[in-house]
Amino acid sequence: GAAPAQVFGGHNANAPVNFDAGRIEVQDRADRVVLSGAVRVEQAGLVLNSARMTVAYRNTGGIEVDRIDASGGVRIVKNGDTASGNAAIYDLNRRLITVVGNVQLTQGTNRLSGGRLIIDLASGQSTIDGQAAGRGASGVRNSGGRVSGTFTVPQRDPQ
Amino acid sequence: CGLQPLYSGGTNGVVASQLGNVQVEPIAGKAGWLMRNALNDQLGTFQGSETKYRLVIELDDKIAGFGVRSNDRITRERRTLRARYQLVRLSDSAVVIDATAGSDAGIDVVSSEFATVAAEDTALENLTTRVADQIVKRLSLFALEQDGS
Amino acid sequence: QGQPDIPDSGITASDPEEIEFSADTINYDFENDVVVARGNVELAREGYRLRADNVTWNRKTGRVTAEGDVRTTGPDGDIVYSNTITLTDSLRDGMVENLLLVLEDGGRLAALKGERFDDGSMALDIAAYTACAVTTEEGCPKEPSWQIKAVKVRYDPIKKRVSYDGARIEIFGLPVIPLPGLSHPISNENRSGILVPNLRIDSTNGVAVSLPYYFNIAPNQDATVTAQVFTEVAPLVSGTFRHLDDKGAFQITGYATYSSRIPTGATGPLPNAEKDFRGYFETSGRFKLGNNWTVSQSARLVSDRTFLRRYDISDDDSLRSTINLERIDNSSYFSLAGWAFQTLRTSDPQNQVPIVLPMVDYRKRLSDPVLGGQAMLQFNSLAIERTGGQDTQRAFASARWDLRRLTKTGQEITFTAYARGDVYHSDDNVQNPVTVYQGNSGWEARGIVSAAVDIKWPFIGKAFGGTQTITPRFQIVATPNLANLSLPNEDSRAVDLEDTNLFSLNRFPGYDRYEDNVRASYGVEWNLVRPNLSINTIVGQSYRLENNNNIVPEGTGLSDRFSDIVGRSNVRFKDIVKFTHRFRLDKDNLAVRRNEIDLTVGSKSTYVQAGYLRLNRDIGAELEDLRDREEIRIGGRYQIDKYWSVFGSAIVDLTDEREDPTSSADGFEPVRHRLGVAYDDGCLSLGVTWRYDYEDTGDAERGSTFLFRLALRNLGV
Repeated sequence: GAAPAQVFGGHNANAPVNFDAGRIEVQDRADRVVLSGAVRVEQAGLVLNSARMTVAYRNTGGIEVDRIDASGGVRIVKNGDTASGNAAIYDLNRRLITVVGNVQLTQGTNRLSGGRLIIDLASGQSTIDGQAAGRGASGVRNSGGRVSGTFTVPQRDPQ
Repeated sequence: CGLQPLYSGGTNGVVASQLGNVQVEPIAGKAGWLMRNALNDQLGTFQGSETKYRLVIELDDKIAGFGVRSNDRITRERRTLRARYQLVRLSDSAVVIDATAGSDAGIDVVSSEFATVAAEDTALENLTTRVADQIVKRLSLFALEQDGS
Repeated sequence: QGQPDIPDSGITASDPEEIEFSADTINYDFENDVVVARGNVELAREGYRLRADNVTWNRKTGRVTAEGDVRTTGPDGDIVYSNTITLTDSLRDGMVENLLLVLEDGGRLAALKGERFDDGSMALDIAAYTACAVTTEEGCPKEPSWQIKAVKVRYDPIKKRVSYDGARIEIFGLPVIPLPGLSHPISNENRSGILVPNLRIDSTNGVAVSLPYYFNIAPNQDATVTAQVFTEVAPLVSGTFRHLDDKGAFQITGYATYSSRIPTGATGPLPNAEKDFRGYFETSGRFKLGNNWTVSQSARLVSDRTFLRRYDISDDDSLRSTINLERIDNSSYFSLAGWAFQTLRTSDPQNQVPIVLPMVDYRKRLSDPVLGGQAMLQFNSLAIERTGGQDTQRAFASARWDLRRLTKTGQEITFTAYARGDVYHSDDNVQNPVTVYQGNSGWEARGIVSAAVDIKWPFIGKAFGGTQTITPRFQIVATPNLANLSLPNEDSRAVDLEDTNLFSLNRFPGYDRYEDNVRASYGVEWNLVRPNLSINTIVGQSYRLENNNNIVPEGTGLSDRFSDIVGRSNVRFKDIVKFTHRFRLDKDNLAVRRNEIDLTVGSKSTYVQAGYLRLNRDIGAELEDLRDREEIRIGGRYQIDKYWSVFGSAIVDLTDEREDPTSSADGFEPVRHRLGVAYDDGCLSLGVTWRYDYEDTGDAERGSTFLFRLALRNLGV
């Protein structure tokens, strides 16, 4: 059968990032830009929407975005697959997107919901678990939030 | 020791008025028919008009053989008739009495098997009258308790 | 930006092409399309559920591997526990290791390895099945009382059947019965299969193993065929067919064998005792035919007089067959019946045994009162035929009128009038061995008129902490002289005055004899009812203006002017003691003519039961029917602990020449005793009974019989 479409995986995190927001506030000294009001960020087909976003960048000649923190109805879409949650952190250097809080992941007809989603753009692995908002750095299980959802069974020609 | 007639006052005495006209439900089989007639006859003497109670009865009728002699011949039988009965008050369909009554009769096993069968039938007729009498006595005691005397 | 409408949490209703997931963490490798779920993972698809610590699902190949406290349940409720399992993503078929299958009805199948197929059936290797509890009440594990171990086991959930290769039953851990090709149903609905064999050893037929096979033909029909193989005689085959429907039910049973027969008189097999077919047939049933009509039948037929006792099928010494068509409604009873008998008593010729066809009995209670009283009409006819004896036909019609009144002072008075006309016809009377039963041959008739007054006056009062009732009773019955000896006596032979017939209009059983003359019967009933204790005593006697010994044999208590004193008393204390004593005392010297005592002491599980009978009536020898005898019966059961119990019983014939001058007994002749021990823990019951018969009749010799009983719960039991 056809290999499933690459989802979130093989994404070129170095592609140019363009922003669109109701209000943009640049805080030069902090090398930070704060956007609000239906913010939309797009990078090589990966679209990130949220109510507010803070973009941290390094000024090395050109603008190099290191990290984007989005919060308030975050939605990440890439060719038909969506992930949504209360807040998200896109670490461009480590090519990791972490979404936390009432996370929903939809990949084709598969649907998953849980506390926290980590998408590893390099390996194409995404892990969803019941961690509440905030990064459980030490991996300590907190109040045991559960992950649930459904996966469709791919049609295979009967062996 | 304080004895007084159970049915003093006759048909408008305590027992007759409390029990009224007890409705006896049909009972299965010949034994049931005989038992129901015996009960209706005895309860009929109270001449109760108002139907306040319903009597439901289940019969268990057994014949056991013993008196086994040397050549394993059964020479004596005993017919036991047991009745499980419930008196149900119609007003709230509460079961006010749930009890059993019973008696037995001995039968000689004679050489003609048919004579033994006939003696078993006669024993059944006598037993239905005896057990019906026990049930009516128990109902009368209940009627007196109701009246608190 | 609208959120996609995804159900917020929990497992959604499953659509067949989806597997629902729930876990602590789910890792989804998009690249290789592998889902890894960790932490109390639950999967569900189309009614199949799986629970494990970790589950890996390769969506490309469709392999689901689960490890760690794995539990899979199918829609039929069977649960498979294992620690690793690999399934296809249908969650149905796959390999399982170290599994325990708990069946929906409590049975358990454990196995080292197993394969589960698409239809839910399983093939297990090195498996063991049991229906017993494997944990005690407190929950600590215990060895099941029995289990079946086998090399290969196949479980079919649709047919609810388990079949084994190389199986053996282990009871209490001991390998007991190898069962090569065993297969049995495991659900509690009854399904065809082998029932548990049972074993007996007796002196007549040697060691006997019986193998029953059960056929579940239809939900309302089944059959059991049993082959009983003996070491010393040919096998005995038997079969039972049962049918039930909304109209009624019937059963047919048959036994057959081919063995030598010993004439009842002889001792030991005669040299030329030829072998031939021996068997027994039995059927019984009852059906409703429309409103108020029912027909019931029961027939029993045996090939020879000792077959039933020789193969321990039944101890009866006479077989009854009857068919009865009845119509019963509130006011009338109608019965058209037929009787036939087969005697197994060594001394009774079969051609003297009556065949009764037809026997009609119709009774009608008139609904509206006649002269204020209750009237009942009866019509009865009877035809008795004996191949080598007297034939009798009888018909009578009767009317009975009862007027019951309750007086102000509490007396129950009953006036009774009874009238009856009988017509008899009999022939071959001389062939009747007992002259007093013969009556005149040809046509005879009789008219009966009786009048009676019966007064009961119950008193009630408090006493001994309870309520006592005393009921004196007085009855007068007047009947003009009527014919008795001129008529045949077919149904009034078992004459005995008892407390239950003292106040009947006619103290003879049946209708052929009727007491005439004027008599008074009097008696008193005393009754005490207290919480947990009830005592009841009745005593009575009757007095006749003339003695009655022309029609009533001396010794029945009815022959002289004063009757014997009859009575009964019973005592009941809680559910622990039940005592009943029935007696008849001689009117002159108060000698005990009849003494019947029954005593039961103890609870349902541990009790002692004793029954004593003494008949000392000295009835003349010409009436061989009403012989005297004395007997004691003792039985008991003792519940040792939760599972073990012992039981025993004995019958001793105490008759000696005092009671029966013709008997050579010495006053202490045990007839039979029985001792046994039983184990029952709800899933295994085991029993050994030793029975010793002191008498032999024909080829049913005296001696010991050992009965072994083994029953395994829901294993074709």
